[in-house]
Amino acid sequence: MFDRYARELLRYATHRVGEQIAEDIVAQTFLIAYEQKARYDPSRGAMLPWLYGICTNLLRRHRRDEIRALKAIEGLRPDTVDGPTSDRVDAQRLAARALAALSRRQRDVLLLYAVAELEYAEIAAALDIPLGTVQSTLHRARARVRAALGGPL
Amino acid sequence: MKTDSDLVAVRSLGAEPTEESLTRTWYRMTKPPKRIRPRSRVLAPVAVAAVVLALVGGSLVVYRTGAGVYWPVASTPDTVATLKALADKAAAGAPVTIGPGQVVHTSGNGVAGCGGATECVIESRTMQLWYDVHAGRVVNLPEDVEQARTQPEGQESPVGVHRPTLEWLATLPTDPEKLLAHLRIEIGRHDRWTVDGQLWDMLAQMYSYCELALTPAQRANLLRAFTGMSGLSTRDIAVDGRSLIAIRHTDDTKGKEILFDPDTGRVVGRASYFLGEGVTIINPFDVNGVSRMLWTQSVVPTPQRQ
Repeated sequence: MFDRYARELLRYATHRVGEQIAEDIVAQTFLIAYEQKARYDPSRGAMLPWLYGICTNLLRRHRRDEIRALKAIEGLRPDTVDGPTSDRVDAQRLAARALAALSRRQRDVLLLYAVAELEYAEIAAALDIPLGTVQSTLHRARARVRAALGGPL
Repeated sequence: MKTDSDLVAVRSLGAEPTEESLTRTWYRMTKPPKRIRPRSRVLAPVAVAAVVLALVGGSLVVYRTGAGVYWPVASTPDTVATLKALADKAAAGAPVTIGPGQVVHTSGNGVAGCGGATECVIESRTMQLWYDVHAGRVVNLPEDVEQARTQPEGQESPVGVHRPTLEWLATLPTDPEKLLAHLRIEIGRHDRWTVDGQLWDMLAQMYSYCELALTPAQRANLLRAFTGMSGLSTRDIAVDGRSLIAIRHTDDTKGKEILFDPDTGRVVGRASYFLGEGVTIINPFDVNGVSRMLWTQSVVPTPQRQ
């Protein structure tokens, strides 16, 4: 299970809280999954969304670390570099600001969609919320990020 | 992958996890939790009685954790599978005879880091080593003495994994579990590092001295014994266009690798990694890590001193 899923979970967690905390979170995710393996119901979906659900729950304890990291990116100064790098830094700053301003639920759904690349139904299974809630939450979250980036709503 | 601009922007805020990060995650997962002291001693008599009953009833395997001991956990499942596959390859190799007056010559090339507590500068290194596997002694020529890790005669450590000889190799248990237990006892204890971490380090040195002297059965037995070690992980690497298998032992902030040829199951090098923080690594080479040495070995006449 570790060999198959660890890298994807680590990518998702590292993206949210940085390498060091992510390693602890992913390690805990597998330990919890092992302890709760009897609760895993294959008829409700694949194992990876279930693991993402555990991981996301653990990440909630590190909300402050996540917001702090986003604000650090937001504080980068694009005017210190030229050309395409400057544009990229600017986009990252705006995206970081938008992400930091989202609600916890919106951030969870958006990052499971954008970084973990789960489908709607998988996100619903991971977070144990209705499919319609996933769709509406994701729509609102993406609209806010697009608006922050200056694109169409 | 979804390519909408907002999703790309969100993804750009994070980086891909590194191999080192993945190894550390495995290490953190398998590291046993710190022992929690009981708040009450009410149950102590019951626990003592249970231990006594267990001791009377049969054998008791005691895994101690902490400095100088080993984790009571297995290595990653794919590492165990890789070691078994390497053992099968190694068992099919051809034995080499090292007669009286002959030694194992190791010629190596690579890089290694040196420096202080906050900085490590990676430099190019070569290795020339002549090892007398009959006497268990490095016999480098005077001009190579700087590279020889010899001790004055009379102050040598006992023959064993630190100082392998043909005779010692021949006495090793052939059962993998007994072999590992034997090696763990030989390696002793250290204040800071785990037993398996120290053992892995000494095995890497042993291979660099005399891998060629091992019989195919001894190579295979060792590889099967390693499947019982803790803290090992595996990865495929390419060095100068050559595909190798690295088996790593992670111990705190140190990762030490023994490099295997996947076609023969034989050891062809070693590498080490620093996994901690606070040290600036200055590395002008295309090498990930703080040291790496690949070698070739041959049987040659004992070098004659002038």
